[in-house]
Amino acid sequence: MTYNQKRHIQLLKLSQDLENQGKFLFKENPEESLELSNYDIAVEHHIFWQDRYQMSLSMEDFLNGKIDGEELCDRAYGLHRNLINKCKKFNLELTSGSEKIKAFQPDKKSKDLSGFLTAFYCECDHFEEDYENDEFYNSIKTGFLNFQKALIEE
Amino acid sequence: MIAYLAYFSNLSEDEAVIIDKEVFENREEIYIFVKNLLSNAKYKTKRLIIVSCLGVGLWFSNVQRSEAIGLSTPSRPIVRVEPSHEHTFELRTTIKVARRNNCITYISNRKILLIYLTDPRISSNKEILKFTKELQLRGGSLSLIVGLGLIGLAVLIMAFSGAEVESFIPAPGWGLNRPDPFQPPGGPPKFPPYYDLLSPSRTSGSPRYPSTLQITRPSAMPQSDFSALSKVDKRRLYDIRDMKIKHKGYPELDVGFWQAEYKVRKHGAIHGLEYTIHEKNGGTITKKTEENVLKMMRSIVDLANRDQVEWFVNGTYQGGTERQFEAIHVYDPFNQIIVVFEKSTRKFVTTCQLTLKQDTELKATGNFGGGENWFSKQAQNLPPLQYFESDVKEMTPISPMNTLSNLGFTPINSFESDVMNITPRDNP
Repeated sequence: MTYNQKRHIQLLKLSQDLENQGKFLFKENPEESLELSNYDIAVEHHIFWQDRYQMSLSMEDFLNGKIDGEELCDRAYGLHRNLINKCKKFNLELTSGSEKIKAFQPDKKSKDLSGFLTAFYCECDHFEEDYENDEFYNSIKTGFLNFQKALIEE
Repeated sequence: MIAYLAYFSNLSEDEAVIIDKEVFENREEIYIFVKNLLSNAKYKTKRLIIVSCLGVGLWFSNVQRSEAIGLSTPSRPIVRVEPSHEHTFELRTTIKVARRNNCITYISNRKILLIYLTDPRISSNKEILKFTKELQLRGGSLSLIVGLGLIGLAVLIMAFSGAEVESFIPAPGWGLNRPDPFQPPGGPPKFPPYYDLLSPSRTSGSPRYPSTLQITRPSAMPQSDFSALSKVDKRRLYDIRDMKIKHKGYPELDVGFWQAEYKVRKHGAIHGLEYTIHEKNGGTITKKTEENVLKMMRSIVDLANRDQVEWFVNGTYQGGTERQFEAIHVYDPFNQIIVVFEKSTRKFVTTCQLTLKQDTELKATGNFGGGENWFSKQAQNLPPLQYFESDVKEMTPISPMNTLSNLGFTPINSFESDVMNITPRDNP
């Protein structure tokens, strides 16, 4: 998919107009909704991709015993929350015609990390308050190795 | 079993006969009768005894109404969420148990003190029996004072240590205005630094932010069965504060109090609860209080009753992973907040604010979570881990420490230690 910023802005505005009327684009026009989702996801991938080393460092710190599972998962929840907020802010800037992001193009490599944060979030959610066990440690280790492989292949 | 301790002096014959009769009629195991105590005592001792007794009398004269004192569990409001779209809350309270008046009776300055205790543990307490023997042998006023102190101490110890105190009231007004009278006032206990070294409950496995709320055993369930339950099963136990979602045309769903209590700390913020943001990692923290748990539960119930909410009755949670299960999702697309219920039990599991990708996946597939198996060994979009690791091992020489693995040393994987900078954890 080629990212088309003009079309992204157009669809965002359409979606917002419908929401103001209490309607949803995915109900009114599923095809355009899917197109908008693709642009949104491309932006989201890029924003997360920019934080990829922070993510990697957090897991490494945990595996080396520098931080505990509680701290690791707080970081994961923090990244998840920040990602949602950054994407909202980015879309606001898009629709407000901000000059800063006019030349924005998502990095193609960013989609290779697709789904990682969701998986990380679910791991933390599953083990919530019970991180001091081998199952959690091994799971994070596996995730870390997969993540590192994706980074090496970039 | 009843214990009487009666001390008096200069009683008329009729009064002595009445007390003798009362004590004799109710006596089962112990009774102590010390006659002419004050007349034998010295002036200072007399004054001390009189002041002590007057103090005790005044202390217990200010009796106030108490809430369900004597129950092992505190009374608390029951919140019920009734039919679906017009959700209403029905408030009930548990039956109040009237406090007993037979604790201590102050009769008159002549019949100085009559302690009337009905708890069998007090009358059979070794310390008290020992005291009564000493008192009988010595008959002195010093023993009496020390003894009174001992009784008071024993009573307090029993009151604080017994989880099933049924009839004893330590002091008037004790435990009032607190949700749990058996919890000390002033919030969660604060431990001195050395406590970590002493207390087995503060091991590394304990949660860093423990809740002051504790899952209570249902009265019909034997203690052994309750103890055998896993943490997950305990959180599924029925609680009087559980709520239901009833929405026309959709399955009835349970929002369990204990599961909500488990989730409120990390997920309370998305439901509008007060939170703090962790300075370093950006995560949110909501205090685990009963009030916050109930607020989050009400938010979930309200969410399910909004007009524009999406129901995914044939959804999945963590699809494609070992933890996958069939789920019912209730989703607010405006705020991108999902509430996940296990389909087989209809019970609340978790809640989350979705990213744009998660939102799209949910709408397209009905699945939330899973994340393409990044954290399982057979990643869907990656070569098998074994192949990957062996590939890397060829690139990096194996650490000579590996040869010591048979001697009990922790083996160090060259890829992990040299390439990834991980120091493998000791095997359990």
